[in-house]
Amino acid sequence: MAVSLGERKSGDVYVLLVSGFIDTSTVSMVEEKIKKLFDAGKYKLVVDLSGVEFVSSAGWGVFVAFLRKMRDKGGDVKLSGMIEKVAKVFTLMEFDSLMAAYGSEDEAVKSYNK
Amino acid sequence: MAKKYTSIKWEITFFIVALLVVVIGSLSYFVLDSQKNSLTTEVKLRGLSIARNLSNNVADFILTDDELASARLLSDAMNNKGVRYAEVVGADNKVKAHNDLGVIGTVYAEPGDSEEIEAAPYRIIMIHDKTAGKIMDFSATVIAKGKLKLGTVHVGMSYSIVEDVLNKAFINVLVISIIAIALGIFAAFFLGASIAKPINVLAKGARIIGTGNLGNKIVVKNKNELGALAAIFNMMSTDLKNAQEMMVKQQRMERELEVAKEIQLSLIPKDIAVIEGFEVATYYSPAKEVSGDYYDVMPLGHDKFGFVVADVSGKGVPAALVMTMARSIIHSESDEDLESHITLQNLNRILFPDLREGMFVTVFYGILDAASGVVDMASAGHNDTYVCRNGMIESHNPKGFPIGTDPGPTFDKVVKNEKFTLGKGEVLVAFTDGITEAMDPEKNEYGDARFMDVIKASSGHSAAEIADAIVKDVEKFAKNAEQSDDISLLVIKRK
Repeated sequence: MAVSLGERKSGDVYVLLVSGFIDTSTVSMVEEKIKKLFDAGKYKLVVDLSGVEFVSSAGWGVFVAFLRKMRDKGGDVKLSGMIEKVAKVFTLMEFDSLMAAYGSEDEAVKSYNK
Repeated sequence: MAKKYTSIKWEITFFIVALLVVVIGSLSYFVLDSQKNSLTTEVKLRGLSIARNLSNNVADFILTDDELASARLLSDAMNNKGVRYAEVVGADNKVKAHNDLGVIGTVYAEPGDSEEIEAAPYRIIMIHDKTAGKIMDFSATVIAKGKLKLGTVHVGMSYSIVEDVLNKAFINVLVISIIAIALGIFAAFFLGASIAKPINVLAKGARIIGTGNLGNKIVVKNKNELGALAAIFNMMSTDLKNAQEMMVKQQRMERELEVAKEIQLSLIPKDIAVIEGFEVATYYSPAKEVSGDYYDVMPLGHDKFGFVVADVSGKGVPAALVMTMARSIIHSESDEDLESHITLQNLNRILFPDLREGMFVTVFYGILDAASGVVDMASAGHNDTYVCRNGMIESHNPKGFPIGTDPGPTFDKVVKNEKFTLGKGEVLVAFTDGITEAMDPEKNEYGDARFMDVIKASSGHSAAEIADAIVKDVEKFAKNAEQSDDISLLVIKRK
């Protein structure tokens, strides 16, 4: 299983584009990427998961871990573009009461400026 | 028996010296031999020409008995370089003329210590004179006109000159050969040493690696095959070290997983409490890569029982340890008088600080009042709990996100509980997503639909049979695909 990462800047919001599988073998790559952004002072993050087919519990753990860190610095971690299967798990675990998720990357980015 | 060890430098030295000796020896032999031949030929030619000349010219003087003229001829002949004597021996074998006047008139006698070299067309003999050295004697017949043999001319040419020259040449060649061989020995020795040294370095390096000191590097500066061998040796050394480190890491990981599994299995209850009026069945199957499920049944007193099904994110020993903590905390926090979601709030608050970042636990916690059949349940981010009644499946999943994602305030606000009554013949099924996410070889998921179908189909049977039917159905679906996640199953049926 593999994962590929891309990044984009939209004003002061950073968008991390993920595709593939986020599981135990690939989760460290995602974690490193987000950590790099955090260390570089980029606290407003949108993680676009439209290319992601599966997120394991370790994957959710990464988003949850950085959620607090980013929020403490005045930023946030928002998700976007989850496919149905992934969104189902997200809601099942009731992460929807913890963090924000949007249908598209644009909506997620815009929400920072509201 | 150990093989006798001789350094390669000796082999090389011996070989080169032997080669030098053979080459120089052959060369010297041919050089000296050819020199000897040419010198000898020179003497022969000169000797023959002087003898022939003499024999031609002396004939008349012998006939006329002109001693003076003969003497003059002999004297001329003696003027040639290297001529030791010249004489004329008459047909009566008496010496008719000689450079040494005292010999004239004596009987000619061939010197004893001599050997014939040539017989025709002119007789040549080699005389070994003790004082004068070697002398080549040339005989030429003196013939008068008309072929009358008058006598023989003998001219003796000094051969010792030749011998001296040859000896000197021989000594020169010998000296040069010795110098050459000596140089050869040094060169061979150094060559051998220069080859043996890096080989020894390699051997020493290999021995060091053999003692377990992997990663040891050797230095060989030669820019040839030996240098290349050393470079490859160093690569091999590094590869060995890396392979060893990987193996150690691998073993450590495997050991850790073993320990984690042991810890986890120790948490699973061995005996399930017997509840009056109810049947309880459980099933637990850990995946190869331990991911941390656990379940529990706890008597709370006064006919109340607590049920837990939980799933830890992450794997290995850290996940297993989180499980043990969660279990202990639930055990101490659960109380017959505390509603299910309150217990979860307490669990979250106590466990949260000890959880590593990103680690969380989903929990189903239910309290069954065996007397009334009332179930009070809460869920911290866990999957649905199914209740089968009247041939239909109800999903229950009160609000609440996983333990460990929030330190308290938000969690407490969100988590809710739900109460319902389990009637006669009704079945409650709590589980972890290892069941619904079980995959077949084509990576299709077992899914909720199939799960609900098998529960409905078997709901008329005992809890144990229902659990069994579920497990068999999942196994049949997954065929021989490897189990990717832990499976925990808890079935409660009211009799």
